[in-house]
Amino acid sequence: MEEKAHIVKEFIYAVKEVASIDKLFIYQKILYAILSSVNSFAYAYVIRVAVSAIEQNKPIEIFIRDVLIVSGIAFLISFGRKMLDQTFWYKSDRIATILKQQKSIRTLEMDYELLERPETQDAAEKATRRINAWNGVMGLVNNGFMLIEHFLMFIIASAIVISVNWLLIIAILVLALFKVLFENKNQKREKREFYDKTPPMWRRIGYTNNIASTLTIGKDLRIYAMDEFISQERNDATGEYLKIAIKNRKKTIINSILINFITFFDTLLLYGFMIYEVIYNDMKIATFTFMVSSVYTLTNALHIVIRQNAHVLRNSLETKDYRNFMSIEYVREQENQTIEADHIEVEFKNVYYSYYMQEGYALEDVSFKIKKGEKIALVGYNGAGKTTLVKLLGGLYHPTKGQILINGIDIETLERESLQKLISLVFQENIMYALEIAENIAMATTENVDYEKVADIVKLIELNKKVESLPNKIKTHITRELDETAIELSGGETQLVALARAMYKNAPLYVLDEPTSAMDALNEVHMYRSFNDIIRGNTAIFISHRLSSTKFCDRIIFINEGKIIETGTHHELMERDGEYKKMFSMQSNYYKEATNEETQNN
Amino acid sequence: MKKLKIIKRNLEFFIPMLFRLNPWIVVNTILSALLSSVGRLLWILIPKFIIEELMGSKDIKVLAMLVLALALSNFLTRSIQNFIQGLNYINASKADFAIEDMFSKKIMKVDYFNIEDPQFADQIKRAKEGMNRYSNGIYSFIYTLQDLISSVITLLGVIGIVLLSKEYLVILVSLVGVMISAFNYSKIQKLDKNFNHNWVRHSRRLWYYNDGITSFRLQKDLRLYQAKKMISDAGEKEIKEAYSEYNRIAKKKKLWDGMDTFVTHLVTRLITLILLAYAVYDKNMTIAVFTMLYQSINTFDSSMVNLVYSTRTYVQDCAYQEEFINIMEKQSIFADGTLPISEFKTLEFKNVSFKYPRTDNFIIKNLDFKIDSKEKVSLVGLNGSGKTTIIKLICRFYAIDEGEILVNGININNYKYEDYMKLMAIVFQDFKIISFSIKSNVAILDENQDKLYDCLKRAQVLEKVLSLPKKENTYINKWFDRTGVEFSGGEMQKFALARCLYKDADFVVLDEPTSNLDPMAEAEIYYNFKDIVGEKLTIFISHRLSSCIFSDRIFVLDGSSIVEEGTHKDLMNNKGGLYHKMFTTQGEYYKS
Repeated sequence: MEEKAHIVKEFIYAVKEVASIDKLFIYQKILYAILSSVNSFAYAYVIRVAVSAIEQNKPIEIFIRDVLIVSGIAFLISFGRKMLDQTFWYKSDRIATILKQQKSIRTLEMDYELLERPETQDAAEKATRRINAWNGVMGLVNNGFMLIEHFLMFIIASAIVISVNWLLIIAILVLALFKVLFENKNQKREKREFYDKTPPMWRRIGYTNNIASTLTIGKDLRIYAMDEFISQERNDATGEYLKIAIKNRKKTIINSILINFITFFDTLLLYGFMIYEVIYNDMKIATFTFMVSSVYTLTNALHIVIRQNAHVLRNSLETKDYRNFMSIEYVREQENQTIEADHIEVEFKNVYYSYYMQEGYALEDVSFKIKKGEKIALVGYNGAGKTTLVKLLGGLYHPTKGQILINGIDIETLERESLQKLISLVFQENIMYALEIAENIAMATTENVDYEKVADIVKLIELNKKVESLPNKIKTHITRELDETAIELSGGETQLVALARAMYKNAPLYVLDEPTSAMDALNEVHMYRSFNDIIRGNTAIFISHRLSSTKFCDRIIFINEGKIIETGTHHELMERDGEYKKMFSMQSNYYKEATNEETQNN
Repeated sequence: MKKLKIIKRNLEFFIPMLFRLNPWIVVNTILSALLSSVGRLLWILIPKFIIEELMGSKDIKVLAMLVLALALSNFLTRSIQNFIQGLNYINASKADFAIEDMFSKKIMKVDYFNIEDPQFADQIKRAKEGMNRYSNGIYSFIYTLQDLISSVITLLGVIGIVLLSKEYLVILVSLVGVMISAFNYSKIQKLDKNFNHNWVRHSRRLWYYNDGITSFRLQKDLRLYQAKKMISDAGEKEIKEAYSEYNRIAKKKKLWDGMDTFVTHLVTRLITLILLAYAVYDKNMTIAVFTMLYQSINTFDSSMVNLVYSTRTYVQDCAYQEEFINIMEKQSIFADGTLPISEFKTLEFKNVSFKYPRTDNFIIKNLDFKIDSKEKVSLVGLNGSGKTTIIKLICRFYAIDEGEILVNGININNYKYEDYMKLMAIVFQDFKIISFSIKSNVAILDENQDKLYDCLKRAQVLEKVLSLPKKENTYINKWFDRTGVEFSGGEMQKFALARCLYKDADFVVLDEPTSNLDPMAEAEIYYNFKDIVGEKLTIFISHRLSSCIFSDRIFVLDGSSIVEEGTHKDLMNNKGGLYHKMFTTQGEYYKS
């Protein structure tokens, strides 16, 4: 499938986007294009003035005066260019970063379910995959202006040459046309035979290269002697790459020799015409040298226009990717109500959910009610649909059928932010950010953190001992993504920080998904025992596949294969003799066996 | 002096390697450099004759010959250069890949403790960036060699031309100009170097706060905790900080750049022109010679700048590449033993103490224990009590501070490491399954389908594997193969177990091997443990104390040493003990 992009349309879009970040930058680019195009003739013109003064036998003072004036102007032009050059370096980088930031914030505002779809993920990845000074939106602006600059150069050079001989221009253009044809054909071939084929190879090469220095695999690598396998995989990939690279190089060499051959005629023509002018039309040597260099500038400018065209085309495709992503309808229209509440009641009314592009329901006809201040244990085996339910309640997914009500309001009508403010949610996978521990708990940058509140929470869940042992205490940075000297917390500690995060927010509804799975026995029990202090009278849902949680909750909802199969108190369910009882007995079995032995011994 | 040492080390490392990989690279490079300077010199000389002819007899035949010579020499030098450079590029790519392979092999063989050391991780990063981003790796040597040779030859030619016309002064002026240029350049380079050094940190932050932090995996919490403001605050703060620094450097560079433009574009050119004009007026120099000399001086300038630039860049590249050489020459701290070993019979810790490098707390203090039969031992303790550390020490991943670890009664450092490692099969808590096929992950390079199926079956994942269209050749996740499958955490854990079983080693360690499994699957493994693993010396680590019931022996670790030892029964009888406390607190919630 051939991707198409409208270069001019995308260029205008890119210029507008960049101008909205830094308007001056665009004006500077325009100025630069003008200066640059003039600059390429300036020094040849200085020589022309010098030679012409000599040719006409002007006195040395006049020579010096003339040369001084034109050199001065030429200097000012190149000086201006140099200054702008330095400015562009940092501005391009800055604008590219801001574009990434804008896209990044957009992903955060986008409907989660929509963002999770593979095609949206692809679009998001494509949108900023290559944005930097010379790629993507910023690249289109930079390369586009470079094209304009060389086009200007070409116009000026043509005007100069036409003043002497219009036939020469025609001849050069015809030759240039051949160059364009060869160049284009080669570029297309190169794209088809080389660039389109290499990404998967680079993926393999990159992966096998990185694997060696990946911290987490180091142990397995050594125990299972996987180094030979990795090396073999890499060599397969590089071998494959080299094979097509060599083929491509050979063809590229042939192509460049062809182009050199056309240039051979360029040179013949140029000198032929100019020599003709000197001999038969009395052209001055000063003009001769100037014309020769102008024609070189002209062919050079043409060459760059041709080459640049391919960059600009690629950049405009990338810009289209960016524009496509940014123009996705990112929020649902009906989510326009806001809600505030101190106490929360939850009701699921015949809720169905099926994952995107998947058959069958992950949740099927789920109905239940949770009263305010109630503590619910949601239990079931792995894959029963517990986490899906959490995501629905957290407003990340939308029910396929049915309704979820909070205090009687259908959450599908609520602005996501307003809904999500009401929930302190600990997900099964605990995400830590490369920030201070306190910032991770408060989810705010340091100037907005209430450190006293953080300290109280940390103490309550007995994370304070660990925190005190760290070099910068609660201000210690975690995860090594940014800082090699940062601390990595263990699984259990990470879960405590995630819990503290929920407590800091202290929303009227707590939802905790397997919050103790990595804690050791004593930590876990401490959490169970202080559960009431943690949730402080709010409504709570505690999710686990271990049944120990049912002891401190008011009611149990047992879910299996997407359906609620049993609800009630522990006693009620044990008497019912159903799935719950089976699961409970199995898990308590070990402890019973042990306790029995204990009693026997006594 | 220090710089010279670095360069010497660089040359001593890369030249022999280059000759080993492909000696033609050097020959080609020299040839290509020669051609490019010949081309440039002809480009100065031939136009001079054309102008002379035009101002003199205007003989069409001579003019035609000259133009043909110009066009032809241009065509030939360029085409041959294209050809040689094309060849060289391929050779250099090959060399580059070979170097990457050497590097990665080295990292995979280096003492493991390095891998866990953040400073080493940093060193690897610097080596990689030094080779790829800041210098051109193997290419930097080739490019420098080429630039060096072609600049020198061109310079000699130009000097020859100028001296023949007896205009010594212009060369002098040009030299002064180049020296000022070189000075400016060194200033700019210094600014760049400092800037790059700081920018590494900035660019990582810029990436993280403005891009990385909103990667999809991290978004759930950001949304639920209204972190948009936090992110935009952090991002904007970093943008402001980073780019004001960038701007500050850019301003300083503008100063030197402006100076350079002033000197090279205005002052020296003007003086050269005037000097040449005097020669024309006073000594009757022809216009042809005038333009030729002016062009020669321009070529002299650019070759000189090129020379200075490429040598300076090379010096800097050498500095960037040092870290790479450091890693390649890194030696193991363990003097590799010579004793062969083919059986793992007993394991003994004798008064072992250990603390992680650059820390003060002993993780393990005076640890003593002995396992001398094919039994299943459970290692129990609270988080951070050193369970995983003990395993790492047995693997010789770290050097211990005191005491010794004995296998079959002999210090493990005396064994040949490769032989020794063949005897252990370990499932680590943070095991890793790589994005290749199931088969590659379990059997690695081995090809034995029966054994593979048997191990997958014992790990209780065979049924799942056989249900997939590509069976054991199914790729893990979609990184390499669109038809790859995203497996659940539990399934991945089972693959890790299967890999461990496939190795069929004498000594087996399972560190939280059921943490991702649901209770049914977990129970399955607990009850059938002996059938799954076989009669081997096994160490089992788990938070779930229920796993201990089936162990032959239990070690309870607390505060860096073993505080209790015995069977489950023994330990439960010790009422005040840690084991009893942990077990009963966990069991408390299961009493009906």
